Amino acid sequence: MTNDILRYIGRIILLTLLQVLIFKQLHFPLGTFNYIHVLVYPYAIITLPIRIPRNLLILIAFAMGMTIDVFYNSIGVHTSALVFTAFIRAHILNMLEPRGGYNVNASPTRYYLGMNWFIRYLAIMIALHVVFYVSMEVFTFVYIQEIILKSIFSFIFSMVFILLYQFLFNPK
Amino acid sequence: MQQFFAILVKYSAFFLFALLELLCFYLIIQYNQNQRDIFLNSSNLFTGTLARKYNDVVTVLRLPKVLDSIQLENARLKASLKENLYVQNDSATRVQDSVYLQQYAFIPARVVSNSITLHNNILTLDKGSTSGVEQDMGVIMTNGVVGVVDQVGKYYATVISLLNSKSNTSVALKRNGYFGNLVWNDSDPLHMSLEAIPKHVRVERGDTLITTGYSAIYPSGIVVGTVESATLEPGNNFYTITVLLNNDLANVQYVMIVKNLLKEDRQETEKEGSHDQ
Repeated sequence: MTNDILRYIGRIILLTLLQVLIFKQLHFPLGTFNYIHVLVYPYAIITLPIRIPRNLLILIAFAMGMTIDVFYNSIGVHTSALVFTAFIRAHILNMLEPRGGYNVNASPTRYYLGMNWFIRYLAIMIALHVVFYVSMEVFTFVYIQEIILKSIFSFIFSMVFILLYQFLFNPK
Repeated sequence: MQQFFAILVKYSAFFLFALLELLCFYLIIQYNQNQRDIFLNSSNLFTGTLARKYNDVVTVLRLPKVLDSIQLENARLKASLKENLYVQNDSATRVQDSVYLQQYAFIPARVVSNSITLHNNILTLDKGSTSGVEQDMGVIMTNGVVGVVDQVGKYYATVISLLNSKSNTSVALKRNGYFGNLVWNDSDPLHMSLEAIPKHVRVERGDTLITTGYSAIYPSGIVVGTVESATLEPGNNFYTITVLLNNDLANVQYVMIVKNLLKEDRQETEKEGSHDQ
């Protein structure tokens, strides 16, 4: 049990560091359009145990988002998106609940629920997070085209890197 | 109360979420220059547009009042023009010390009914004897002459329009001062004819016609119109002149009634003169 908690804390710290030290520096110029955000940190919130209290999850998301925002110098932008992701997680899990329900001790990962299920879950969560994040970053729907383009590209790149991480470590 | 707390506990995740999102919004706007500018700009845009729309509506609602006050102001300013004052020179020796005495005063009025298509056209104004309107006062508008007051009620007065067979206005050619009578002959509301200009006078197309002030109805020097055509019929001693009116009586709305303050004195004087003859 203590082992599990330490593992989750370790994952949160590792993903935060990966995000601010590595993925923050990555730039993929695509013509004049070089704002692709690779967002891997939501993975830590997405894969926390299913039975974790919702309020605790939201508070963890807030703390983690704040830490990342301090490094990005964009107070509130990542935090709002991550808090949103943490809030919406329970609804998505309800929606995707397999017949027979979840295992009590399960986390929503490939290890417990299989590849198909996990990719579907991950895609929905990352898409919601990316759209919310880009909207907060652009902050006006005047540039709706920019929001859509950024969301699509950021979603694709984030998914690629998160799946890479998934195959490298195959975490519980 | 218990139910309230029960709801609070049941939906605590949502409330926590909403609270933290509001906090995030506040932080974003507070600490991110870009988002802050967008937020402030759009709220300014919204409130600014709202204020301007509101102002537009209020302005329109206030327009009648504004127009009335402008009318009053115009009447006051017109009354202070030198042309409308009677120069009071006590004796020929005191040339420099000229003191002006008011000769013409103006009563602003609105046209409440108007006609231009009849043989004898009449206007009705919204001022009557309570405002000091009397019979035979002249009525003018911004850029021309309208007619002469006919019947006066307590609050309304009728005006014999220029476009009336009874109307007979004395006007002069501004260029050389020869004067004639302006009469209407049932043509369109923009054209009248000028009679009794003798054939030795030089008249050209475009000559300006002004009021003479002989009849003491209008102040002198008001531009009435211009000569559109002047022809000499063979064997006639007078020109046949068509006049293009300066103002369009079809859309007159605001007018001024001219009050000649020295009229009585002049009538007395002229009456005595005619007795002597």
